[in-house]
Amino acid sequence: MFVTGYMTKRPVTVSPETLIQKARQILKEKGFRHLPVTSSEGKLLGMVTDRDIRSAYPSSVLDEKERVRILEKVSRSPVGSIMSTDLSSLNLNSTLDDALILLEKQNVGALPVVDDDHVVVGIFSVRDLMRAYGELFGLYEKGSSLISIIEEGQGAMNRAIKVLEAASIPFTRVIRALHPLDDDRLCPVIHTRVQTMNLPSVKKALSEAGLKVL
Amino acid sequence: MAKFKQVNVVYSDRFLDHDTGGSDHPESPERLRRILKNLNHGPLGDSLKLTEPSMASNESVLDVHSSDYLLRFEEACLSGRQDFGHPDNRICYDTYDVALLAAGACMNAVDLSEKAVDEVIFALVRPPGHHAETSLPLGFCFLNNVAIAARYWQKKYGRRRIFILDFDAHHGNGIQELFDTDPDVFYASIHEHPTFSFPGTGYEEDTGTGPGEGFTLNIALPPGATDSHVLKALKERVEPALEQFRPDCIVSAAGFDAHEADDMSGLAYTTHVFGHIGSFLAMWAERMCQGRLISVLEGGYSLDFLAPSVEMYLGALALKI
Repeated sequence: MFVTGYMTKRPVTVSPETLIQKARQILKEKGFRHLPVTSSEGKLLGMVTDRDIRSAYPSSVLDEKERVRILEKVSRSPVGSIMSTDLSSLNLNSTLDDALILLEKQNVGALPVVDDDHVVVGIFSVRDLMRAYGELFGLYEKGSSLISIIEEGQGAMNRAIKVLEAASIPFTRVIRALHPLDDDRLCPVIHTRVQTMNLPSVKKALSEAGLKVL
Repeated sequence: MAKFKQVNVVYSDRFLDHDTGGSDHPESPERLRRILKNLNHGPLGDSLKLTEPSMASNESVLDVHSSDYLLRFEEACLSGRQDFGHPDNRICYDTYDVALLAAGACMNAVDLSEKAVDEVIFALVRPPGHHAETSLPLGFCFLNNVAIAARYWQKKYGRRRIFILDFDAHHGNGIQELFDTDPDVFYASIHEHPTFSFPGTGYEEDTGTGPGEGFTLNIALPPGATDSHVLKALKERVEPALEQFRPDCIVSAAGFDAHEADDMSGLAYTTHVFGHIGSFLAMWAERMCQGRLISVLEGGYSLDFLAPSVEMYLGALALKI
């Protein structure tokens, strides 16, 4: 549940003196969109994104003279002049929940991860978050499918688990949730990811225990 | 009165010897018995010809599966184990040999297609194959029959560009994996959405990798999807893909478990739609690859509706216009 298990470790970083041109080249070559800017000790100073860099370059609608002037200026400017410094970061104890809340709140694509000394140890992107939750929900498990059992009656969860175990049906995820029905009512369900092709036998075993599958 | 081409069914009673342990297992020998009986007694009966298959050579199977995997598979069968890799994959002493014969039958189907283009060729086999990966048995499948046939077609006859249409209700993860990076083999599958269905693969976003990018087409239908969904998919997505790919031959991974009466999937096709699928395939094969088309049985578990669905499919393929 910690970001450290899913982040990109030891990310490429640049110093504030790195020229914008060079940063642009790194992003382009590596296919990244975020570069942490660090001090010589590796401490986080800021972030520069492909968007920051694009904004630094002159707009194509400007007249030629003005364009050239800005281009010349950009070619001499370091990333320190355009990086954002008002930024949040994650730390070694940040959870996936922390990352989700922060990414959403800050409306950014990635956050740096720092250690106790504020040294950059990783970068955690929205993509990493999606992959992490995909794994948690068992999305990438081959040979499985999600079934939803209506949770009604005494001890439904207990009965459902017992049925699956008794029938030797491997299952990997159990999520208790409220499922919205067509008429907007919420129905308590147990989502579980079962690993078998023989779904009819799963449904039969559950229904014999008085459980309904959505 | 309708006239039919010869329907050449590659089949052996030996396929019945793959014992999956009795009535609880959906992939039973009874499936093939019912299909054959129904074909014999129906309108295709007089056009039916049975061809006895031969076992696949190790060399051909090794084009698709790893030698380590084959050893483990054979060992599991001979040692008397009841399943291989997962309780779903029931095996018996004979399973290894029967699986080799099923793969061989699909290669025989390729030979027949090269010899007699005016016949409809159907490999009526079990165990099925499309879930089996290089080194993984899955979903009742051990050897990937369709993939072995496709590789054989390329190697033996130099037919390079092969289009595979898989209309089984479940995504053929094995076929996709085997040809994921291969731009010469196009894999198109119409199946129930992976979130709700085994094996949980076949998202529309998966379109092939590296040089194979753009040569995989996954069409994921929502649970409850009917004939109109599949017809729309065939017309608007599969046909343009075929037109663009221009195959040398077509392999149909023919599964019938999307039938509304089949409880192995949430799809709800009628028997009728399998006739439409057959008509489309016949038309495409005629138009694009001089009729070079083979069909290989994959799933289909409703004992009452599997046989009529197969008959409807083959009837449409065999209909003389």
